Amino acid sequence: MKTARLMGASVLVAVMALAAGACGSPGSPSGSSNNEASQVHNDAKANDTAKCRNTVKKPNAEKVTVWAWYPAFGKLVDHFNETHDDLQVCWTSADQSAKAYSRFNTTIKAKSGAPDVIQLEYAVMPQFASGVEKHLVDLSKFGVDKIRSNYTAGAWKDVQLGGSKGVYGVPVDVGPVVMYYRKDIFDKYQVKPPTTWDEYEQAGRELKQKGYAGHIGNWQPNGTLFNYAYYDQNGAKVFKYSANDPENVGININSDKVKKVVSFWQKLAKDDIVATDDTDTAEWNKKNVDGSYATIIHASWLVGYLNGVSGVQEGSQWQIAKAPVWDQSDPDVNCGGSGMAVTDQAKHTEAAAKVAMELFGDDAAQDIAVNDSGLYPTWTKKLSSAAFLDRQEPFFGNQKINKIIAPVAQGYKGYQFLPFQTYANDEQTKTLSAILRDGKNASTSLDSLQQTLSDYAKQQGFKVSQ
Amino acid sequence: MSAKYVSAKRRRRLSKDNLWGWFFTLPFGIVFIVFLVVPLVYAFYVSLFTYTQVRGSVFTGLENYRRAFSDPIFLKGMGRVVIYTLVMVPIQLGLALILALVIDSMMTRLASASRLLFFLPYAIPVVIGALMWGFIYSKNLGPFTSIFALFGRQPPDFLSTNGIFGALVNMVTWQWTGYYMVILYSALRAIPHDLYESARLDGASELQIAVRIKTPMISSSLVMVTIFSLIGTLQFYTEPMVLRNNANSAIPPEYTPNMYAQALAFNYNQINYSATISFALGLLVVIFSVIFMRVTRKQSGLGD
Amino acid sequence: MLKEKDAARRIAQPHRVGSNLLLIVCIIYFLMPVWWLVVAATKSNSGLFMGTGGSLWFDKHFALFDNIKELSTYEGGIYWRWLLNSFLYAFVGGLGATIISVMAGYGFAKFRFAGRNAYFDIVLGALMIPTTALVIPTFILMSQIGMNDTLWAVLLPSLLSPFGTYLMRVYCTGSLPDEMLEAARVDGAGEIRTFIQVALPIMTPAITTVFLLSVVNCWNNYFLPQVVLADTKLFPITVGLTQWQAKSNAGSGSEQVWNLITSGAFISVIPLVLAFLFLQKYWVSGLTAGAVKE
Repeated sequence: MKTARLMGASVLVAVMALAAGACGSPGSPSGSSNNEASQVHNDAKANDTAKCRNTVKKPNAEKVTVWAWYPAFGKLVDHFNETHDDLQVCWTSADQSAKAYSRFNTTIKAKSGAPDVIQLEYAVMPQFASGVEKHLVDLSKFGVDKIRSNYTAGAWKDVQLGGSKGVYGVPVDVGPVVMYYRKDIFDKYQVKPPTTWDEYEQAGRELKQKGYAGHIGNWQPNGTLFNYAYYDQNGAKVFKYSANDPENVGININSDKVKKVVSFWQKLAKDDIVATDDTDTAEWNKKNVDGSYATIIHASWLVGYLNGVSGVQEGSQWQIAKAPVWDQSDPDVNCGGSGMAVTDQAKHTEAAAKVAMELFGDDAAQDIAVNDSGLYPTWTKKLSSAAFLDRQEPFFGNQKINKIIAPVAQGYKGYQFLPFQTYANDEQTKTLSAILRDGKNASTSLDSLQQTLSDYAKQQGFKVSQ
Repeated sequence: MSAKYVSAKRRRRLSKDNLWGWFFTLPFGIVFIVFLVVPLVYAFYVSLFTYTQVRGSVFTGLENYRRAFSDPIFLKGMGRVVIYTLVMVPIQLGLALILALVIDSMMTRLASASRLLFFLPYAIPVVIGALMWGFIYSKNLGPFTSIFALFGRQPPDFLSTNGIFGALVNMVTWQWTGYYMVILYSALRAIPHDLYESARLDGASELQIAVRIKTPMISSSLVMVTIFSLIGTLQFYTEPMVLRNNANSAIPPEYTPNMYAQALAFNYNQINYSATISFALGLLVVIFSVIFMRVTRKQSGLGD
Repeated sequence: MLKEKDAARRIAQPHRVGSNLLLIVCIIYFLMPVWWLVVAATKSNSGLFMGTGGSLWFDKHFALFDNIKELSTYEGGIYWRWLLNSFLYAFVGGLGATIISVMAGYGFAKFRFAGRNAYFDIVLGALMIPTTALVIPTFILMSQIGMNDTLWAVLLPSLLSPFGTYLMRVYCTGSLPDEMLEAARVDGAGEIRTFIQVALPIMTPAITTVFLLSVVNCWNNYFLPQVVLADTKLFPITVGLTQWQAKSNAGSGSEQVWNLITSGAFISVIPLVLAFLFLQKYWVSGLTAGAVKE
């Protein structure tokens, strides 16, 4: 009887729910206007009362709100505000990547609350500029082409989102992929640091044979963007998307070139030549500094992790070399990086565009970005300056690391990312984890990943090609 | 009692009852409607639309539910929490019951100290407990490597695909067993002790008393804590969510239905489908609980 | 009589060794992670990763006080703000939920008002609805009325406690005799005075229980604030520390604050652990009333 009453109660709750549902509630949460003109606004006063994390130097000037999570961003904002009289940057949020994007999504749903200018990684830009979700302003009409020659070609491709007409952000930094290696370990076991993947495998086996307890390196199942870099190195363009053609996506993650790369690592993992640890965990940070890995193939920003965890500032045993290649014609590859984009909610779009273009746009700002924030520049002038190239890095025993990294940054050709890249990354992590850790068949697993991603794209209304 | 016999005084009492009864329960009713009924209704309303990146939102009726109940990710997540429930609930409650019985039968200082110490993890927020275990499970940062080395063994890999199940079961057991134990223990204390004395005189052993007398006497408490842990486990979220920071690929973002709903809403921009998942989960939990209460209807303390 | 007791003890003897062993093993199990936290709180970043004493013993460099100092300066000492927020959410939310539950429990138990049974059945039904399933709908609703990212977004939903209401009703029915209330009414006391002066004192143990349970619930709150809050200044400690964890996992150099996570976690659990250890006696009695019916 009690149960019957309880069941009745539950049903009643459900019925109440249904009844109230019939009354309807305000508009379903979704989309936005497709109209390009409605993206541009002209209200110079709207931000006068905005709450800023920084102290605005010239309180009477027009303010532009910015979300960014670059390290030492406050210093950069101060620099901008000191050198500008007509505009002042108001830094309103420092939420990091995923958190910032989900918050940006919320403001899109609510149609208010977004900043004028936002830091976005290249990989997520398409997500905010596709289908009904067109929330990034094309900066072409604000003279962005004039500064194009200041930036590397690859980074510029990234902010053009695969197209040729629009420019949806101003590039700030990139993550050139290089090899970090422990000189002491290679010396101790008298093994030569590898320059090709064949040598990498051999060196790994040799180290193991000679009694080294760690692994030559690590393949991270969750290192999604790194994995795209590995594929690219072997000539596989896994994703295609163009802002000019925003209803089509290309997915080709089960090509022979991808399978070759994955099978290579699967073999090394199976033979226990490489570890398969997730990156960005306490465990991984620990293994980076305790000699568990003889090499780490990583982006330029790894150095900050290494000295942050170990507390060592100079004279470590680490050295930097070019990442191993399949053959000498392989392209230079990149992982990550971000730029400043202007949102369709910018109160005064022209002013916002100016901030996006000028925030990192002079020598002093670039110095702060490189020295204080640890960013790897996309500014060609910086990349080719003698001071930058000849800088000796105390952590690497005064090695001139930029001589190796800068050419990689210059050589990067740009990638295309899907408008649902986060989903694709999560799915890829699952697939790679199954292949590398649980020994699943690489070829069929990648085939089914291709299927999963294509199905999702179709479900979202995109036309899919390879 | 039929209305015919209701006296005038009684009628006055009734109308007073109406007034004050509603007066006292009204604040609760308001909060209940605003923060439970309305979100529920709204979830249902939102779930009737389908959002796609290319076309935006379109009304599709129950289509999302058809999708959810044939969505392998949702079904797998649901299956996972059911398995967790089947494993975790008996372990926690079994251990809690044994400890409560042992402490109840011992009057030593060790017993009363244990009661306090077992309960300690409950006072630590689940998030912080999960953060701690994340470190402790780590091969290089946690103690297990050196503990197992004492026996010349390698520690199990808690944060791998295969180890994660045990890791989470252990975390939950550590966090909640003490709490359930305290509830059961207080129920045991409320049983009149002369009941055991006579059993002892009849030559029953302590074990027999525990199994034959004490446990049946607290069955209503047992049912109550079972329902709590059942509901808690079906909405499993915090522990895997926090541990995911240490085991990114062993715990996919849609590991449990609640995590799936969050990933859909915040990472994949699929608010409508996310609401569908939330609503479907709520529905399933209610069904599970009702089934459980039907099965244990006799012992159930809930209901009147 | 004495002899009989001795006999009982003798029978129990063989079990006793096993029982003690079981208790000791369990004490080690339940305390080991706590001990780990105590030790970890005293380590610096490099002490945590490269320290000498192993993870269950102190590093040679005792950094607890440095960590506390750093907690007060890192990001402008936001840690203490988080701790304060957690107290605020737990105390105000817990108090509000308790008041509402106590009133409702009393109303359900002592007044035969129209619709009572259906009403209470719905409350019981609600006990089974997973609260986390409501978080995302609540979030969407709040974002439409612009309530996200405010204190209220965390506080108001935590006022709902169907379990507290259930517990209070059971307690009132069982421990609060109608005659007593009737007597007060005959003496001319109004309903509100009767409630406050007669009923509340008797309900004290159950109120303590409901209050502590609600406080713990709010203190534990993670999913909801995680979703509705973006402003770091409003975070409770749970959301704040996980944000630091995410940052330390992915960040470089100065953003790696493992030592602040461990020492921050340690400091944050102290108040509630103490409160529980000292107040256990009080709140357990109320729980017993709810647990043991009849």
